[in-house]
Amino acid sequence: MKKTLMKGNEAIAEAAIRAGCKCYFGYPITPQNEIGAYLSQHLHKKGGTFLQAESEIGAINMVYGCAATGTRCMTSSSSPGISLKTEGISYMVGADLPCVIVSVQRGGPGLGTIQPSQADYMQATKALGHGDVHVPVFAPCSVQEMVDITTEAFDLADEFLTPVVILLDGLLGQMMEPVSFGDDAVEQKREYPDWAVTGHENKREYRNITSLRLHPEELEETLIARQARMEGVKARTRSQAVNCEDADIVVVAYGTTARVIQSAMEMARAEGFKIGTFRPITVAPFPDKQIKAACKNAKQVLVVEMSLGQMVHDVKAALEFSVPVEFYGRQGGFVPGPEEIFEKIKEMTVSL
Amino acid sequence: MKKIIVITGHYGAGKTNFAVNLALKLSHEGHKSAVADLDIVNPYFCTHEFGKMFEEAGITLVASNIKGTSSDVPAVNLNVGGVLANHDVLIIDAGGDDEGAKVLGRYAPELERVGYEMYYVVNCNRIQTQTAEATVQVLRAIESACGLKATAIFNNSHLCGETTADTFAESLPYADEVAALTGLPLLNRDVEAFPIEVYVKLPWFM
Repeated sequence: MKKTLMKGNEAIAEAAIRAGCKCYFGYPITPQNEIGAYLSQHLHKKGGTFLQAESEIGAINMVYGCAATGTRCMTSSSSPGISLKTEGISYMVGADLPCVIVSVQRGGPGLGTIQPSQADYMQATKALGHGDVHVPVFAPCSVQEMVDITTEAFDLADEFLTPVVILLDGLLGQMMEPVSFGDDAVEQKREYPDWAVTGHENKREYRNITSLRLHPEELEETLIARQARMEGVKARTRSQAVNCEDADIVVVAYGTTARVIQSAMEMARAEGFKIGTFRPITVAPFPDKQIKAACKNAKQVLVVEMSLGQMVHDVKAALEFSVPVEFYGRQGGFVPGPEEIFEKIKEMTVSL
Repeated sequence: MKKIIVITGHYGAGKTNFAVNLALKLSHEGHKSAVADLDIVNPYFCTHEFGKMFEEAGITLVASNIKGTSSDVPAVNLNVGGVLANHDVLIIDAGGDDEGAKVLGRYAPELERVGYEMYYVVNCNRIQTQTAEATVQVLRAIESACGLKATAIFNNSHLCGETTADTFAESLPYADEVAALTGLPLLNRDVEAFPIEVYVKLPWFM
């Protein structure tokens, strides 16, 4: 299949169009502007609508309204913008509405920097809104994987009636890689789901989509039912383990840093160090079982992130604190290089 | 010689990598060179990241610094006359597309006066410039945004890490067609005409 060069942001936008996304609502912020820019040029050609909202809050509430009609829709933003969207995301979870949200992390807190970061891991996986909010979060690490996961994210959102996050960082959004799309599929006519508000025309029961449930019994029942439904997502956790069988140290990272630890592992292996890598492809739910299996022979684990250490807690918990877990991180927009990670690995091997 | 070379093209065509190659080549040939980073649209993968390499090669880098400002966009501070007084060649790395080229417009009258060359860097593997027609359309938008005209085409068709010798060979008909449609000379009909070293790399490439 012919490959073309695309930026991560452009590729996600094209993949969304091909996945049948019909509406995009967003507000510009670096480093994810190519998503909106691409959709503003191409979404209308497939009968869709691109709309630049007056704010991030406006955008996520437009997504709420659009999703309520059973139409595939998405929004995207970067760190401060995602913070603004969290109220709306919580409302969507409360109303069981599907959508895709692309979060392209930049350095924070506050305005921080426009350079890449992974400091919104906690926000994406633990605190994307108030209430018992848990949404599935994908963390691709290549432009091709972004394309494949975009389709999957839309399908998952529809199947489990939930917002789904694709968690990137500025580098993944801005970098270019060769990518191929499947053949132009004949677009399937999607039936409106039986919960969508599409106008009853006095021909069917009136439908109501809301997150407001004033009776404790009703709210509790809804929460428990939603949690039971989300259990099904746990069966979809995905990960990639490389060279873990004989590894003394398993290095764990997602997204951009997962690419860097791969190079660090190759450096270390070339010098005789037994190093493996583990990459969560879904970070929520976290692939607990897979990482436990990957680290069953490991004497130590090293988590590498572009933050002060956020995923490291999920790794420790998944391993039930049975293996010593070290952390190496860079912040402020820096991407760690393979050399510095190899240095950290060498330090750790002294204690083996 | 006193020369100004403007490098323009679509995002991802490889403008910055070409600008770095060109600066190093001219510098090695003994020309006192300066590179001005005018890409204020895309703050990633810019020539201003090559400050140290340029310093070692004796190349002056004219780039604004985000430091000390409260803005999250780079600003432009290029004194064309000042740079030309002390250098043989000024290479201007412009931003991609018509949006990025707008910044050039500010310098257009001065560049017209002192004379310039403008190389249009093309890549048939980028999704927006896969055909010669689309590539020429992008050029026309750039030209109308900046008020300058391209003087030559540089074929930089690549596929990042998956580039092979065939990638370039297969792109020749495309490059010839772009040259024919624009009536401009094609600077490189074979790889040897201007071998390209990859300087703009992702952090995990060793």
